[in-house]
Amino acid sequence: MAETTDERGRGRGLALVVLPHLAAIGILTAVAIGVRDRLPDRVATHFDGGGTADGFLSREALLALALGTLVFQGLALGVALWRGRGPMRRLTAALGAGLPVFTGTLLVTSLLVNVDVADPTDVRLPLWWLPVALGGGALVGLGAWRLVGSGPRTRERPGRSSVLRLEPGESAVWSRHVGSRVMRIAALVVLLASLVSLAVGEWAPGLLGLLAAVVVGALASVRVTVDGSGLVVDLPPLPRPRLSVPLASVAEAEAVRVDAIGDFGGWGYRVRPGASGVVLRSGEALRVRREGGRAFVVTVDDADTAAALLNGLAARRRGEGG
Amino acid sequence: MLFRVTPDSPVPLGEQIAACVRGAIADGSARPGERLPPARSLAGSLGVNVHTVLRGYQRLRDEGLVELRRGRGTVVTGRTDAPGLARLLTLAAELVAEARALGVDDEEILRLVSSQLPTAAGEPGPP
Repeated sequence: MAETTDERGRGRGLALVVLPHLAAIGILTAVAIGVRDRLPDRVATHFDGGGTADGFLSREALLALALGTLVFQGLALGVALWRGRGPMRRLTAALGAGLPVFTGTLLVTSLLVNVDVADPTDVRLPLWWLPVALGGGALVGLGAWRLVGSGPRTRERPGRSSVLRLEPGESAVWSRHVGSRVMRIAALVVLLASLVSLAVGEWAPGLLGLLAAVVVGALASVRVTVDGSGLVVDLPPLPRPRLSVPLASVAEAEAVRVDAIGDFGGWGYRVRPGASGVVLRSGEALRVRREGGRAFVVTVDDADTAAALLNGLAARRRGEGG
Repeated sequence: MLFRVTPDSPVPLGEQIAACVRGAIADGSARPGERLPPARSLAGSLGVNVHTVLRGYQRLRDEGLVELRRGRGTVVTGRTDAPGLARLLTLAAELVAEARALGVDDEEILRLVSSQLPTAAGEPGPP
């Protein structure tokens, strides 16, 4: 039964995310209790490219930050895994198992290098820890990737597909705008935060934040066009960036429903195994299967009409229409 | 919004474009505030002259179905009776096209419509 296999896959994936996080939290707590009396009041927490300390926190703040990071990371990845489907779940499981190994190793190391030092500016982070943490994380992630497996193939839900028959000589265009509330809100929040930064004289983060707000805001509304050249997704009035599927490479178009987090792991321009797409919200979407297999997905209302027109244009191009 | 035009139809291209928008407003697939594609890109996609598209858009403005909004281009009006108005205008266009095809002249069309005014109670009868 596909559902049972799927439920088991989800449980296994969740265990692969939660257990390494619990282990990392446990080890970090044990180490912190063990060396608590040997840490200085102010500990080095940030290091430059050469491994010399250039950022400091109080001992308690470092512990709170380290535990908070692991707890938040574990919760976020756990939720993403629970909602993930098919290839997205596999990717999340690999990331969720490997990341706590990497962050846990770095956090424990940054505690250990502060043990028994009188002056935190003398602390040095041996740089070979970085590749060790990265390699360990990658190995565990790869293991999780193999353990979860690709899951049942049938999970790709079929969509609705029809063909709009076109008269000979007839020209047809379908065009629609689609906006993202999530991204507009994100842009607004970043904008407010960067204005606050500028107001208190923090120029660099303020200007960077402004730039990010403009970019996210601009990407929050796109136009989807289907015409004789194929499918185009762009950001009018800008000529670029622009994504397109030429009519010649359209195998089949259909209207589907997508879940932004479950199917693509978030919002925006998304790439995942087997598909890429512009996902600005959950719900109705146009999915185009290309010659060669990879799918392109764009979330947009009235996707049935867009799919039918694209199928009609492709059929006429192949000489089936009329 | 779906646009379909046939260049060798007796109906002018601008009117065909306007008819597509009316249809979309009438059946609710184009809601108030929905943006029409910029005339230049629509003309490019359909393979027609920009002025042809602009003529179609101008008609829709005259009919009160769309309006120009700064920074957003041409959008469907927010008036609540827009779908009804679009249906009515579609019927009127069909009436005129049918009459012309039968060789009825414009005077006669007007007389025909006004002759229906005293008797019709509301719903237009079958064609």
